[in-house]
Amino acid sequence: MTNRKSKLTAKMVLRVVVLVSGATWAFGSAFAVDYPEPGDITAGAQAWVENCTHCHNLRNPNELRDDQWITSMFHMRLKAGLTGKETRDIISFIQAANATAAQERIREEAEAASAAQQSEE
Amino acid sequence: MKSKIVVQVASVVILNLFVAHTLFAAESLEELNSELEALKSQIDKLQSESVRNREAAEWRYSDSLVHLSGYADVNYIDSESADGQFAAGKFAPIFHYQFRDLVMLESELEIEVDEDGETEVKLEYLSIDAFINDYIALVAGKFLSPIGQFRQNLHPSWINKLASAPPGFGHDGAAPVADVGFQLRGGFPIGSTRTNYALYVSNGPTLKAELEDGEFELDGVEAEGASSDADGDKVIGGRFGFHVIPHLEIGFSLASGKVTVNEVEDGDSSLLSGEGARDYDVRGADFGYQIGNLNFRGEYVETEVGATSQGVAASEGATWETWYTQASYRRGQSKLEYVARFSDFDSPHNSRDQEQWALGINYLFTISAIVKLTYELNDGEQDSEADEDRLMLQLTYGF
Repeated sequence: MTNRKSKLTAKMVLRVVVLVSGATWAFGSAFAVDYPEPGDITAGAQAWVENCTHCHNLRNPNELRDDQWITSMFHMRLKAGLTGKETRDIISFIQAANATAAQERIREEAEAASAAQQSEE
Repeated sequence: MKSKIVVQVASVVILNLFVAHTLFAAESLEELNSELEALKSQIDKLQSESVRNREAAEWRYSDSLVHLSGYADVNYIDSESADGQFAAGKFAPIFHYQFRDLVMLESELEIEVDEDGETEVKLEYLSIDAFINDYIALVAGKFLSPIGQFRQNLHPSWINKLASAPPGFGHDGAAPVADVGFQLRGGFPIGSTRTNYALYVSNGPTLKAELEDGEFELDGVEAEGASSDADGDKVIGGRFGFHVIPHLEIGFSLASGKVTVNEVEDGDSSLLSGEGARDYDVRGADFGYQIGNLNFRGEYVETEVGATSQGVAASEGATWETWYTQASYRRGQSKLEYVARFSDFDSPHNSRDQEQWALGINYLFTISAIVKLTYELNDGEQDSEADEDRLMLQLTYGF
C-alpha cells in the first residue's frame, strides 16, 4: 500500500514538473515582467469592452481606485484567461480613464469654488 | 521776525514729511503682511498637495495590494406549494492580497442563513496564484471548477442575470462546483484568434450512494472540492476556449479520473468497506455571444460515473446531464434588462429531473446593484419539488 502511494506521489510530482516546465518552455520567460509596466491604452479600451461584456455589464472605471483596479484585473486575468499584456493594457486604459475623470472633477470643483467666490465679492 | 517765520515753515515741512513717511510705512507694512499671508497659504496648499500626491503614489505603486470585493443578495421566493417567504440570501466576500505581478492570494467565503436561522459559512475557494509569465499562471488550492463557464464566471448573483442557477449547475448537479488541487491557466493568441485555457489535476469528487429496495445505487456526485482523495487516483481535466470572432467565444471541457463512494444518503456511512474506484468522466461545451444589445449564451455538461463490483456499495454506473441556453437584452444604458432561459436537467433520479423556462426582468440601480424579478415555469415529476413553478424577487449588490 505504502509502495503504491509513493509511486502515485512520484507520478504526481512528475506530472507537475512536466506540466509547468513544458508550458514555461513553450511560452518563453519563466519570470514575470517588472511591475507596474504601462500598457497600451487604445488596445486596453478594446480588450476591456470585448472581454468584460462577455460575462457582465461594464463597470464604470471610477467605481474603484487605481490600485483596486490592479488587483481586480489580476483576478479577472485568471477568470477570463487574459494574457499579461492584455491585463496591463486594460489597467492602463482604466487608470487613464480614472485620471481624466478625476481631472474633470477637480476642474469642475475649481470652477464652482471660483464662481462662489465671485458671487461673494 | 523773518527768522521766526523760516523756523515755523521748516517745522511744518518737517512735520508733514514725518507724517507722510509714517503713513507710507504703514501702508507698506500692510501690503507686506498681506503678501506674507498669501505666501503662507500657498505653501500650506503645496504641502497638502504634496502629501496627497505622495499618498496617492503609495496606493498606486505599493508592492503589496489588498482588495476586498464580493457580492450579496436578499430574496423573496413564492412557490406553488409554500407561502411566499423572505430569504437572507448570501453574503460572499472575496479577499485579494497581491504582491506585485508575481503572486496573488484570493479567497471567497459563502455565508448563508438556512431555514432554521442557523448561519452557514463555506469556503467557496482559496487559492494562491503565481503568475509565471504573460501566458501561464499556476493556481493552487481550492478553486472553482474550470469545467464550462457558469460555475467559474457566472454564478455570482450580480452577474447571473436570473435569480436562480440553471438546474444541474448548482450543488449536487451535473456540473462540478469546485475542486482541490492545482491548475495552470491563462490565454495566448493564435494569429488573430484569442484563446484561453485551464488544465488541472485534483482530488476529484466523491460519491454518495443510497439504499433502495435492498440494493445500493448511486445518489449523487459530491463535486464541491474535498480535501481528501479516498482512491488516491487524481482527476485530470480542463477547458479550452477560443474567440472565433471578437464577441463570440466557444469552449470545450473534459475531465477524467476515478471516484469512490464514501457516503450513504440517510444511512450509516461507516458500514462502507473496500469500495472500488469507478471511472469518472465529464464532458462539456459552452458558448457566449454578444451582438449589439443582445447577449446569448449556452452550456452543456455531462457527468458519467462507471460501475463497480467491489465494496459494500457496489452498483451500476449513472449519468447526470444538463444544458441551458439564455438570451438577454438591454438597450444601451437603459436601466431595464430582459432575460429568458431554457434548461433541461436529467439525473438517475426521476424526481430530480427538470425542464425549466425562466423569464426575468431586471432593474439596474447601478451596474452592480440590481433588483431581479424571475418567474420559473418548471416541469418535473408530478407532485415533486422539481415540478413547482416559482416566483423570485432578488436584490443583489456586487462590490
